[in-house]
Amino acid sequence: MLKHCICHIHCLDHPGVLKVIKALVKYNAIFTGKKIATVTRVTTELDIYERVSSILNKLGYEVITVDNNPLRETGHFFEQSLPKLLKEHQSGMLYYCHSKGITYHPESDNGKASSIWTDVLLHYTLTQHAKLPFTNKKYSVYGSCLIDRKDYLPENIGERFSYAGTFFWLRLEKLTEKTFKPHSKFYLEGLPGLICDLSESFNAGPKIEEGESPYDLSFWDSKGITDGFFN
Amino acid sequence: MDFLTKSMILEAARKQYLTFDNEFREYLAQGNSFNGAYHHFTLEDVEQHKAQSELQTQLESWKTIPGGVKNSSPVRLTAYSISKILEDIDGQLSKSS
Repeated sequence: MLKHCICHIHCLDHPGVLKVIKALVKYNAIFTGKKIATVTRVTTELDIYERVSSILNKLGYEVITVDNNPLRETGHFFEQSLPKLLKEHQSGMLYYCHSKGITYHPESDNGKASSIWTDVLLHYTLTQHAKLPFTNKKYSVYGSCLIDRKDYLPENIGERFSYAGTFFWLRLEKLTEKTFKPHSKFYLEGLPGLICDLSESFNAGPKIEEGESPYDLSFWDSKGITDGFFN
Repeated sequence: MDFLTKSMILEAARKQYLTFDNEFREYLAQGNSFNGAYHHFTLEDVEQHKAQSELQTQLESWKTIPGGVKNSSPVRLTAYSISKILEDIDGQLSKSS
């Protein structure tokens, strides 16, 4: 079974970018299929853009330089990668991740929480990826930090469930260009819940329950998870 | 450094960094003289308050709501810069390929 990857890197000079790039380098061998990365070219941080593009090129990614679109964000970038993947492949597993937590200062509470959150997502989707039951056809989407709550995402996007943080594996057969119509910056986060039933989802690691928020350090404290969870 | 120059630097730092000024005032409130304070506080103290002040400025400029968007870094985070590390990773990949 081929394993494809689509990722998005917003090229700011921020540790959140480095965390995901290091993970993609370390686990590059997992991806036996097509690899596509969209990267935003930030004019004030061109050195980061150039290095990130160079690294991803060397890892075998098709790198697409994109303009930022704050209104549709990750869905907007995914929309540009997906047709290139589907042109060559209609089956296999697709992994998605992005530079996460980069809108926060690393020393702020949200920044610290996002860093731990990213560690958890990378741990359960990459480090532990061999433990994900890809061969069990019962499941079509795999991720961590599952939220089964209608009120989590705005505009009724995530009507059933989503993986908070938007790192997930998806059976590519479930996805066609027609099924992907981003209209909101939260669309990609809600995508698993839009195209699959909850019974088709596999959650590794913590689940986020009513009243809990991964933006809060106390949430991670309560789980006994600290920064450095992913190595 | 002579005493006069040091005292001028410390006075300038008091105007620039509120946290340092507060600490300076607390020291005076304990009954110490200005000259005593100029001897007591060091240039390293000033550097610490400068770093603290810069962090506060950065935290303010980076404030956002969950799920917020930033097109570019409001203030470039030089202390956390990943530029050199990315350069090293890129270099290692060049060698291995």
